[in-house]
Parts: sequence; structure tokens; C-alpha cells
Amino acid sequence: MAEFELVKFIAMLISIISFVNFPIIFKKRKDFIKYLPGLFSLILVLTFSSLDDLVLSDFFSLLEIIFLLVGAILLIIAVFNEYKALISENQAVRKKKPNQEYSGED
Amino acid sequence: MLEFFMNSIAICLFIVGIFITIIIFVKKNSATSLFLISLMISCLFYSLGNLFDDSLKWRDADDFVNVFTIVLATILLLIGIVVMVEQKLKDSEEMFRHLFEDAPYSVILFDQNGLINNCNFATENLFIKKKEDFIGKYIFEIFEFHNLSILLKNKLELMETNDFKEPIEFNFLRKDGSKVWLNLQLSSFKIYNGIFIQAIFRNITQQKRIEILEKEEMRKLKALDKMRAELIRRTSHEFKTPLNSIFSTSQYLLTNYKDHLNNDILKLIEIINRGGLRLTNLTKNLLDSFNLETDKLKLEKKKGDIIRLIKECASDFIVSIRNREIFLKQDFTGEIYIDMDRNRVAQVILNLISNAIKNTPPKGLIYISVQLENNYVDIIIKDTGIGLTKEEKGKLFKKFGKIERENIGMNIITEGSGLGLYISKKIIELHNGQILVESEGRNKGCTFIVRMPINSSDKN
Repeated sequence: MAEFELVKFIAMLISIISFVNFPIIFKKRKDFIKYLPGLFSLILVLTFSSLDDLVLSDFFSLLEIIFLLVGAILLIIAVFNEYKALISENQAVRKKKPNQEYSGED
Repeated sequence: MLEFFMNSIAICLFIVGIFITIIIFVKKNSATSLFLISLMISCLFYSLGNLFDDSLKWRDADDFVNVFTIVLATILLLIGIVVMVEQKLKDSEEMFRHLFEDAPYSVILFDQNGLINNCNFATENLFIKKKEDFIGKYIFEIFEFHNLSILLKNKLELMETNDFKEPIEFNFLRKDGSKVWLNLQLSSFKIYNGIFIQAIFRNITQQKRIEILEKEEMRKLKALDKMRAELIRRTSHEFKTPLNSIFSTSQYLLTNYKDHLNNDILKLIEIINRGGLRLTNLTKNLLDSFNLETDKLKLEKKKGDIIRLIKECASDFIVSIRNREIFLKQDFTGEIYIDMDRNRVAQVILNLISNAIKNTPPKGLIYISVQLENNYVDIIIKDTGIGLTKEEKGKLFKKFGKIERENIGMNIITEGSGLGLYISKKIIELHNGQILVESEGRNKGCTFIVRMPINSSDKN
């Protein structure tokens, strides 16, 4: 049991480091901000997962599953948005190409 | 039941997420997409672990959940790092892409076989072709009719030596019919095992036009200079005969009829004589200067005694030295034989002694000495005259580099054409020698050293 708690504790620590890092990193990558809520939810999942072994097991266990679902939804939204943007970008390039006229000026 | 339901939904969502991220990865091919796939897979297994643990009460599910807890946490941490690294790479790529695309010169990249891989925006402008017309084609196709052999030769040499080559300049006919002058610089670089060649083209049409104009102007200037020199030569030549008549007649009158003429007439004839002499010297100098410029002055070198020559030259000035009340000291003995054109060397020595007399005020001293070194002889003509400033030394040996000293307030003679030292220097240089000048400044006298080579058969 103690071994499992240690693993979860390590996971929680790593999650906290990620939690601190994310705002700094994603400040530069505006295109990845859409993943930020989903990733935060997953960090919370890991935090609640390590807490439910210590106190209020049922409560934190429920929170863990709720945030896992929320995280899944948020990540899916983000991934779907990116997919949509990628598709529309490709279509825009394909449409633009035949209309490009070359001026040929020096 | 609720937990089971929520876990099941999460699992379904993660499965869909995995598929979408795989598509994104295929399209974008980025490291972050790959990590998103890993994140989705970890989340899926984490949810599965939870499902088995909480709802289905599977015995080993706890271990499963624990493993994926740590995997998930690690991926979360790594995603941040990967995003950061990818951004740095993107920034770097962007910078180099701008460097390449926005370069003011046309840059074409091709492989060892001449297959073009990339070109920048300036290339499109320079060759009036689209980027697509370059990429995937061979470089020889672009320059099919334009110095292909030179380009190919350079390319091959480049492959052998893997070194930068001298730039090539060539004329190129563009798509619109306009001709441009191009400067091509090739360089190579290695990526993995492949060698790539970078061809940088610069439009130098404007520069070429200026060069052609410069050449044309130079040609015109040379023609003008030739005309000028010819004019001087012909004028001097035409002047020579009547001037000789004036000078020799006045000389004859002064020599033979001096006692028969009254003072006024005698003074007038003396003026004519002096003017005639000056003009005769000037025309001689002009002709010499022309001959020196056009390499028409040929030396008639013979072995001769330089000491004897200096003595003869110095003796020619006995009267003028006495008239100007100058002291002349000569410090040389013996004989030194050198190869020389006697008349021309005499012209130089006479010119230097004459200058020393003119620029030394009465009661001054002119000291002539000869020093023999290993391979040369120094003829030193030193005076206690008005000396030379630094600026005067600079223009001393230049053509018409006459130093104006009219208002200097000393009893010196300022007449002269400004050609004497120029001609003297050229004559001595034709003898493989040199003329040196030393002076500490105004009123400190000056020393001229004529340094001439001697051969092994010299005797003293």
C-alpha cells in the first residue's frame, strides 16, 4: 500500500511541476492554449487520485472521475478544433493556388 | 454506477481523441502531435484501469492504474518541454527561412546532380520565372543557352575541391527578352551524406554599365592625353628652330659686337638673349618630358668616369657661382667608371647644381661630394640655401611641380619651368638609380643624392 502511495505522490509532484510550467510555456505558443484547460483537468485528476488514498476517499475518487471526464471533453474539443483549423487551412491553400498571378516584375 | 458511466464516456472520448490526433500527426508531422497521441493513449489506459478497479473490481487493476498514473504525469511534464523545444526550432527555422527568402540576392539550392531543391523570392524576380519553374528541374535547364560549360566546369571543380570558387560573371537573356549581367558565386555544404550546392546570383547590370562607361571615358581620356602630348611635342619642335635663331643671333651680337653697341641696345640684346635661353631650355625640357612619357627617350649607355663628369659640370658654373658670391666645395678624387648616358647624366648634375645655385643666397655654400658604396655610387649635392618644407618635398619631382618662392624675401632666383627635377628623376630611374632629397626645413639647406648603380668592372 505504501508503495502505491509513493507512486501516486511522485505523479502528483510531477503534475504540480507541469502545472507551474504550463502558463510559462503556453504563453509563447498561443496555438496550444486551447489544450490548457484539458491538461489542467488531467493534473487535477492526478492530484485527486493521490489524495483519495489519504482522506475522503469517496469524495476525491468522485472528483477524480468527474475531472477525468471533463478533461476528456475539453481535450476532444481542443483536438477537434485543431483538426478543423488544419482542414480549413488546407482548403484555403488549395483554393488560393490557381488564382495566384505572377507579376514578373524585377 | 455513475462512476462506471462516466469512465465509459471518458474512454469513448479518448478513443475518438486518439484517432483525431493521429490524423493531425499525419498532416502536421509535429512532435507535439505525437505527444498528444501518447497523452490520449495514457488517459485511455488510466480510465480503463479506473473502470476495472472501481466498477468491475478487478484484482490487479490497482497496479495498472498506478503505472498509468506515473506515465500520464510524465507525459504531461514532457508535453511542456516538447512544446518549448518545438517552438525554439520553429523560431530558428523561421529566422533562417526569412534569411533565405528575403535575401536581396537570388539563391538557388541544388544537389550534386544539379537537381534544384529550393530557390528564394529574389530568384523569381531576377529570372522572371515562378518558383515552381525552378524546383524539381535541373540547373542546366535554366542556363541551357547561357555559359553552361563554365557553370558545369565550376560545379565539378567545386565537387572535387569542396571549396569556394571565384565568382563568374555572365550575360543572361531573361524571359522578357531583357539582358542582364549576372555574378554567380558557388559554395557547397553537406547535409548527412548528400552534398548541396548553393548558387548565389547577383544582378550586376548597373555595375557593368558603369564599368563600360568608365572604360569608354578612359579611352577618350587616353586619346586626349595623346593629343595633348603630341601637340606639346610638335609645338616644341616648331619653336626650336626660330628660338635657336633668336638665341644664337643674340649670343653672336653679344660676343662679337659688344664694343660697337651702346649700353641701351646692349641691355635689350641681353634681355633677348636671356629670354631666348629660357625658352630654348623650356622647349628642350618639354621635348624630353614628352619622350620620357612615351618611352621614346633612349639612353646611349657607355662606360664613363662619373668623377670627371661632375668636375666638368661644376666648372660650367664657375662664372655664375662667382656672380652670386657663393662658395663651391668639391670633395672627390680618383675615377669611378659606371655605365651611363654621359649627356643625360650631365643634364641631371647640371640641373641639380643649377638649382643649388639658384636657391642659395649670396655667401652660401654648395658642397659636392661622391661616396662609393658596395653596389652604387652616391653623388651628393648639398647647399646651405632656403631648404624645403615637407609639402615642397612632396611635389618636388612632379611634372610642373615648380615651387613658388617669389615672396619668400631672400635673394634667390625663382625662374624655372618645373620640369627639371621631373626629367632628372626619370633619367636616373632609366639608369636603375634614384634621386633622394633631404632637408630639415626652411632655411636649413637641402641635400640631393643621386644614387647610381655601378658594375663589377668599376675602378677607383
